[in-house]
Amino acid sequence: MRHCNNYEELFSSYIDGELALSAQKDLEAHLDGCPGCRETVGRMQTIRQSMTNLSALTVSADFDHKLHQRISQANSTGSSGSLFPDFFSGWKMPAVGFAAVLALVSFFTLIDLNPDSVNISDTDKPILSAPAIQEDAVTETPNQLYAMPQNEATAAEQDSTNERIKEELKKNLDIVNDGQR
Amino acid sequence: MKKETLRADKVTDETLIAQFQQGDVQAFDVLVRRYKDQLLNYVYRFVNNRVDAEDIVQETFLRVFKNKHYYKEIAKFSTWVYTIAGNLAKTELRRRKRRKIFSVSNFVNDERDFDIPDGERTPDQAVDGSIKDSIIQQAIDKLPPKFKEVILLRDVQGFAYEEISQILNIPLGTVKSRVNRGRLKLQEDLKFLFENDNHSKG
Repeated sequence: MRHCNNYEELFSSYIDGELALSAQKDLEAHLDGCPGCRETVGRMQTIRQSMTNLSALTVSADFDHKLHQRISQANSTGSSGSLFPDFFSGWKMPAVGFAAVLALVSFFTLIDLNPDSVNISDTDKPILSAPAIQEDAVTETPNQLYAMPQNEATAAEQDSTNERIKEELKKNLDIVNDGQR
Repeated sequence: MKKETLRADKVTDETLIAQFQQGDVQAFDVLVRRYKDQLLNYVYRFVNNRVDAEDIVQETFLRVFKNKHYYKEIAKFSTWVYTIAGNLAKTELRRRKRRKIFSVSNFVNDERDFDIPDGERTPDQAVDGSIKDSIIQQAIDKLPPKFKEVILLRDVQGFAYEEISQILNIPLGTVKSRVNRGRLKLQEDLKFLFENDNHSKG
């Protein structure tokens, strides 16, 4: 035997006359023996009837005039009725503005904190390019400043080495000459 | 003039919107004339405020006017216009809910029971038949939006289940189930009215 809850889901279809004949007969048999379900269906039928009989309203007398005004207004301000798309309506417009200002401030703050950045007041140089290397500075880099003395020292060492080699060769030659003697 | 009206009455909504899409603004006026009152009744029962309801109906027609080329004849015009009006009504209810959450009055318990008819009726309630109207409206207000919209479309506006399914873009089975649950909830909330009737009859 089916429980009341199983029949309950058929009540609206029964009221609307949309149940198949067999299901309708089955439900009616249940309603005959179940006062609770019978009262529920009765109340639903009455309320449905009351809903269809709710007092009907008509629009106010100036409805058409107001509508034409709104349409004219929308036409004069463009197809969307606003300078901005609907996406920017309500809270979104100030939020987007705030985000844009925040992004700009962050951008300039980051530029300022970057050690490689160029002084913005120096208008002769491009702001976002790397610092230019001056021609004079190239010849005065530390390595190159020490390059010449390094070369001179190497030459002096080379001279003393040559002198030592010559002395060694002379000694060797003297020894050879002494042995021959 | 009368002849023109008669001619317009025979033209289908779909023909009128097609004419409007071709630039015939008079066709739009006929559509407004046909739908303004029935849309008002639908939206009014939804938001329970006449000024808001009329504003929503105006906005509905404004959107029809501005977006006329989005209408395709795969659906009935009534389906399209009721979808627009219903969505605007639901947006209004959500807006009210948000406003209520942020309002100080949120701290006050706003749950009110139904007014049981008694000797202290207000003048508008005293008018014959209006008591049940206002009480039914309060019961409708208490329904969750997903039940409210199907009940209004089915029982107040008299749409077929299939068209409700198209207007709300939900399956037919879901529509039937929601109508049934909505009606069950209404009869539960309005049970006391019938008890009074039984007492008065007895």
